Order: sequence, then C-alpha cells, then structure tokens
Amino acid sequence: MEEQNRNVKRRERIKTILIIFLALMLVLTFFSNTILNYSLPTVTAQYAGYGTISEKVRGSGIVKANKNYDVVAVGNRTVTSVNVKQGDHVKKGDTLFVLDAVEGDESVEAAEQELETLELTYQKALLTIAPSYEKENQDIANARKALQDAVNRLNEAKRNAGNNVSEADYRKATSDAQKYTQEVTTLSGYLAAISTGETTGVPSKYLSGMSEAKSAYDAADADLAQASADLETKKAALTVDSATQKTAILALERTAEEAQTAYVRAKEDYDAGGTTELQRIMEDAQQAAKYAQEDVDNAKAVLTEIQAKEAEIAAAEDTVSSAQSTLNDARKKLDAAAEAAAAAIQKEIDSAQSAADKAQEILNSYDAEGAATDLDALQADVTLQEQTLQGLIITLADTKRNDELTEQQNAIDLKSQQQTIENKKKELEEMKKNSGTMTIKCENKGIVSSVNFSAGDPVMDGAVLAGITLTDAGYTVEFSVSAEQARKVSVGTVADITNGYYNSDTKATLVSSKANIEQPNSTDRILTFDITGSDITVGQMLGLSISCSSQSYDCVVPSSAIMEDNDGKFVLVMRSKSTPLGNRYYCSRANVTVLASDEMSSAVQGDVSYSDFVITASEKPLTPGMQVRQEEGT
Amino acid sequence: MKLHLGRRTRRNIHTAVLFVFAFIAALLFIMPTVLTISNSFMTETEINANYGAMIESASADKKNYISEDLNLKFIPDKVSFEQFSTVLFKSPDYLLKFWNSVILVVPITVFQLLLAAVTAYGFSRYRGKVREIIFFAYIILMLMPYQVTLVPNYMVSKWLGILGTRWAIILPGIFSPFSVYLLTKVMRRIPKAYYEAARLDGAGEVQIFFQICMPLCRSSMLSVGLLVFIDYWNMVEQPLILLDDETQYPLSVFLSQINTGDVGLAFAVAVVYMIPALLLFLYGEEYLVEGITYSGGVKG
Repeated sequence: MEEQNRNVKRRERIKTILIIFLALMLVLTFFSNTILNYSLPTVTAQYAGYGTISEKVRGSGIVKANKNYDVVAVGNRTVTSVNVKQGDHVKKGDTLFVLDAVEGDESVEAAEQELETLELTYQKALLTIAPSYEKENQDIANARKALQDAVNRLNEAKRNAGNNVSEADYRKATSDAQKYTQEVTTLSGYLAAISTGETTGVPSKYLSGMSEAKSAYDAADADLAQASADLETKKAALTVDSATQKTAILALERTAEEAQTAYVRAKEDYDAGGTTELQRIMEDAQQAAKYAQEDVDNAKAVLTEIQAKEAEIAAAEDTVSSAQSTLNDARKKLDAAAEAAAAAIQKEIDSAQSAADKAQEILNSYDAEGAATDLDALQADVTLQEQTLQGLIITLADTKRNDELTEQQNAIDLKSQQQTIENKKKELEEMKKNSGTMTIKCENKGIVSSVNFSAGDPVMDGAVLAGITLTDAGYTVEFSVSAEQARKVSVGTVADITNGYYNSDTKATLVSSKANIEQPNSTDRILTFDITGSDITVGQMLGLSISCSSQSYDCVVPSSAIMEDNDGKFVLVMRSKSTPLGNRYYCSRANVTVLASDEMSSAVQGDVSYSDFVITASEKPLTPGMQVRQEEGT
Repeated sequence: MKLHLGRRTRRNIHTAVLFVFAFIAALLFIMPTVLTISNSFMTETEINANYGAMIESASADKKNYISEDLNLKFIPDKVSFEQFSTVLFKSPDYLLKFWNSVILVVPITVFQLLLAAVTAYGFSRYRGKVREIIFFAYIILMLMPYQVTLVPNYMVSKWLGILGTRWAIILPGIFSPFSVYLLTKVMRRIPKAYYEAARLDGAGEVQIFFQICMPLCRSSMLSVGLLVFIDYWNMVEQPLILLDDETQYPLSVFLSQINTGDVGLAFAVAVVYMIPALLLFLYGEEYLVEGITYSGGVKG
C-alpha cells in the first residue's frame, strides 16, 4: 500500500515535470522569435538603385591677400601717435602714424661734414698732371740719327772696298777654306792610321782589299803562333836529346862489354879451376853481364822513342817555317793594300789641299784689298744702333700703356666719388626734410593687417611700422587636390563656401589649376581660387566645394554602406532565407568598385545589383554570414 | 588435476560471470545515451573538431574540422551550455520541429488507443468466422514491416488528397494493428463472468466497455500508449515520404540527417528530444512492465 502511494507520488512528480517541460517549450517557442531578434544585431538597409551622382571636389585653405605693403619709417624717430589698429579699413591719404625727431639728433650735421670732406677729396683728385714724353721722343730721335750714321758709314766702307771679289765669294771662300782644311786634317788622320795598320775609324771606301789582306794576315799570324806553340810544347816534352842518349848507351855498352869480359874470364877460370868460389864468381859475372845487357836494351828502346819525338819536332819546325812564309806573303799583300789605300787617301788629300789653297788664295786676294775688318766693325755698330733704337721705342710704348691704365683707374675713382657725393647730397636733403615732426600717410586703400609699434616707441630707420593688406588687389585661397579631381573641375567655376556664414557675400572662383611645384614627384595639383567679399580676413580657413558634372549610374548606394578591408571595398547586402517562422536575414559580402561619389551616395560596380538591399548601418560590427535583424520601421 | 569446487562457490562464479556479461551489455546500450548527454555540454567548435569528418560531405568547400577520424569524447574540454542556449533561445526552427513532433505523435497515440480499445473490445467480445478472418488479417498486417505498407499508404494518401499534409501520417498511424492485437490479447484475459455480472446488473455494452473493460485494461492501455508514443516519436520514413514541406518535418527527421546539418547543435537537440519520451517512460514504467506481462500471460 505504502509502495503504491510512493509510486503514485512519483508518477505525479514526473507528470508535473513533463507538464512543466512542455509548458516551457511552449513558452520558448512562443517567444523564440522575440528572443532571437533581440540577440541579433539591428541594421538599417536600403535598396541600391538608379541614381545621379554629382561629384564634388572639396578642400580648404587659408585666405591670403594678393598684395600687401609695409609702412616703413624714415630716419631714427620716436612714435608720437598711432592712428590705426589692426583690422582697420584705411584709404589713401589717411594718417597712420605721427613720428617725431629724436632729441639731440646730430645726424644732419654729421652728414654735412661728411659731404664736405668728400667734396674736398674729389677736388684734390681732379688736380693731376698730364704725362709728357718729350725726353723719350728726343732720345729716340738721337738713336735714329746714330743708326743712320752707322748705316752710312757701312755703306761707304762697302763702296770703298770695291774689288772683283764679291762679298758672297769671300764668304764662300772662307767656308771652303775651313771645309777643305778640315778635310785635309781628317784624311791625314786616316793616312796615319793606315800607315800604322789600324783600320778602325777609317771609312770603308778606302779599305777595299785591305780588309781581306788584313784578315788573311791575321789568320796566318794565328797559324804561326799555333805552330810555334806546338813546336815549343814538343820541344819541352823532349827532356833528353838523342845525342846524350847515345852517349849514355855507349857507356852502358861498355859496362856490358866489361861485364861480359869479366864473365868470360871467370868462366875460363872456372873451367880451369872449377872451384866453387870460381863458379860463384863466374855466376855473379854472368848475372852482372846479363843485367848490363838489359840496361843497354832499355836504353836503346828509349833512344828509339827519343828519335821519334825528334822527328816530330823536325816536322813541327817545318810547319812553323811554312807558317812563317805564309805570314810573310800575307804581310806583303797587306802592305800592298795599305799602300793602295794610302795612295787613294793621299790623292784626296792632294785634291782637298789644292781646293783649300784655292780658297785661301781668294781670301788672301780679298784681304789684300783690305777693309774687310772695318766692314765687320761697321756692321756690328749698325746692329748695336738698331737694338738701341728698338729698346727706346719699346720703353716709350710701355710707359704710355701704364700711364693710360692709371688714368682710367683715376677716372673710375672720380666717378665713384662723384656718385657718393650725389647720394650723400640727396640723403642730406631727405634728412633735412624729415627733421622735425613727420606724418606717415597711407598710400593705398586696404586693411591694416599688423601694427608693430605703439606710441612712445623709438623706431630705427627702415623699421616696418605696420602692414597693410590691399583690398582692391583681392584675396586668394589655394589647396591641393588629386589629378583626377583636378580634371573634373574647370577654371571659372564658382565654388561653394562650406564653412561660410549664411547671407555672406563671399564668393570663390577657380582661377587656376597648376602642378604642385613644391612636390615635383606628386601628381597632385594646386587649385587657386579668387576670393571676393566684404567679410574676408586674411588667415581665415575657408572650406570650398566645387560641383563637377553629374552623371547617372545603375547602382547607387549610400556612401556609409561602403566599407574597406585588405581585400578592397565592399558592401554588406541583406539576403533573406525562408524559414517556418518567416524570413531570416543574413548579411553577405559583395565586393565593389566605387565609380563616383558625392556627400551622400556612391555609384558602385561589382557583386551588387540595383535591387539588392544594402546595409547602411549596424549597431554591432558585422561579419559576412551573420544573421541580422532589420530595424523597425525601415 | 580436477578442481572440486563447492556448490555455493560455483553458483557465485556463475553469478559473477553473468554480472560481467550483463554489465558489458548494459554499458554497450547506455553508452550512446551517455555520449549524447555529455557531448551536449561541448561547444560547437569542439563538436566540429571531433566529429567534423562525419559532415565532410556537407562542408566540402569549407573544411572546418581538425581531426580526420571521429573522436568519441565523453568529457568536454570546457563544459558549456552554448548548445542548449542556441537550441532553446536562438533557434526557433528546432522548437518548431519539436512541436511538429508533438502535433503528429499526440493525435496518433490518443486516437489509436481509442480506436484500438474499441476494436479490441469487439474482437474479445464477439466470436465468429468473420471476426477470425479480420483478426488474422490484422495479425498479418502487424507482422509486415512498415516499409512494405508505405507504398499503399502513399497511394491511398494521394487518392484521398491528403498527401503532403499531416493527415497522411496521422491517419495511417491511427489505424495501427499492433495496439489492437495487444489490447485484444489483454481483453481476452478478462473473465467473462465480469461482463455477465454487469449485464445482470443491467449494464449496456457501452457501459460494460467503459466501466468494466477499460478500468481493467488501464495499465495495458498505458503501456500500449507508451510504446506507440515512443514508436511514432522516433518516426523518420513517414514524414520524409509523405510530407513535402520541410517545415512540417518532426525533429526526429532532423536528428536522422545529423551528418548533413548542424552537427554542433545535434547533441543538445537530441537531449531535448529525449526528455518527453524519458519522462513518459518513467511515468508509465510500471504499467509498461505490467501491461506487457499481462498481455503475454495465460489466456483467461
């Protein structure tokens, strides 16, 4: 019973759990879309469609004045009053500043004194003496006269010399005499050389035949020397002559004979006596005789050799005598050749000597007429006078050139001094005029852009008191744009002012499009605008926008929809997917290329078509494929 | 040497061996369920990493798994409720499919039980040649695999003009012979004396059916209902063939197509899908045992 109750309770619990589970599932199902939608990023999207893009080129630049001018102080003064402030509009003739002279300013007096000094220096410089060349001219005239005299004297001497020998002949004879004398000396030298047998230095034309004779002689001489040396050697080798050897042999033969005799006698004695002693004596004698005979034989053999050598020596002596005779023959031939050469040379010497004699004769005859020595002296005198005259002329020309240069330099100096004096005079005049109170007036209509001094400030000469922007000259704004943008705008287009005041009369007109010279490598171009209007201030930043021509495109999306990453530009497109609970929306990536764009929209080309629903904004970052929820009311 | 073991010892060994076999068998059967539950706590990334190769065909162009082999992992790297959160809060589709299952299974179970009870009552109460023939036909029909009857079902559905609607599944489901057979067997066990006593007391057939027969068959009805529910809760072929609109598919179809779909969510979906059947089983566990035992008992 208790177990049954427990089972019932258990079943009840399980039933409750089952009901709760189903209820929970029901509730979850009911709210599933709601929960899902809240967890999805909300996006706004709109259809890409046909559209017109009016592209605009935008930029901003600082307003610059076309023309400025600086108000400059004259003289050292003190600012008494400043009548304008920065930003004031001024016109021509308006008083800008009142300046007063600095007390105790001695500058005028100092300038006067300086001018006086300068004038004095100039006057002094004018007082110069003109150069004179009388003395030099006189010297030249004297020199000319002296030269003329010398020439006259020479001519006179030449006339006085009047003989058959002309001067040219004389000169030729002089050189001939020298030449032939020289030739004779040379040839005599050759002759002397040949007579000593020496041919070195002698021209070969004199040595025909002699060279061969000389070489034959030399060869014979050499043969003789060789034969003599051979003979001497052989003689030296023969220490004992045959006569001495024969005498020695004779002596040995006698000894042998004596020994033989002694032996014969001993034999006889032994034969007679027959004693042992006798026998011994006999045997000794026999031995001695035998030895003596051997000695004789040896000596004879030596004699034979000696005789052979002696025969050789005799032959060598014959050779020597033969060589001697050959040498003698060669000598004779050489002598004959030398004689022939000497004869030839002698012949030439004779010829040259006769020519020299002939020339000498001419010279002698000339000398005999006299005056040649005087002529030379006179000629030398003429040359000297000529040189003197030339020297004087050159010196005079140099002096004149130097004087002219100095004169030109002086003229330049004087001109400079004169100019300085003129300037100083003007300065002095100006200073005199500006002494005292001075009023500085505006020279052109414009706006005061800066005031650099206030009342009481001392100003130096040339100090910039104020800057004035000339309003009539206009204003300019410049900015840089890409080359592509520059192509879309045309000169003369009026640009919109993007940061101007409402109702402002400021107008900007494009006046030029030029290359950016500060960055030669860049393709960017500088657009220059002419700015007109009443409330323009220099230095103000002006934003400009120029409309380019508009064009229609098939697919135009809001510019905010275009995103960019490493793969390029893209848009996220909403794609729907049908589910049992309605459409689900997913974002998918569509790569695009931007063709043109204006402030709001861009014309694109790529994976997106004009009917696609393009996501323009999302509350969370999106990644392609993510499920999204469209914002309510869009 | 022969071992002489005591009778008791032998029995213990026998028990131990049986236990080991039973344990292994139980482990094999429970393993898929445990795997499903534990994997439902993995993140989608981890699921893809371990089972990605299984869905390669579905993601051929976008390979997002690491392991080439299937990794049966029981312990998640990081316990996460991401799958459940996605299924329950961010995937209305799955919830809708769940309700599709409910919409199909509940009418089938309820009406089949009603119809089967009435039919079984008829079979048990009235005997005759016609009844025997019809009952035999029921048995034949029951013995046939479902796939055999699928073609006639399709043709009849088309003829009736209900093809592509839920009625094409519900109507054949209602007229299932299995529960009729089972309940007939149960009702035949009710002693005739009960009916006769009721009739003597002046009860009509309807009264007898509802007041005598049904209470006696309650546990069997519940067990049959549970079996029918679980059978149809797991159906796959019928919706695939008889329904055109995928939005009407029950969740079981999604689970059957797990390798082509959202494998990262499949485990959580499976767990969620398991809960109703599990709860119903726990609820009717005793009836189920009782009913099956009863129907298979001695004919009364």
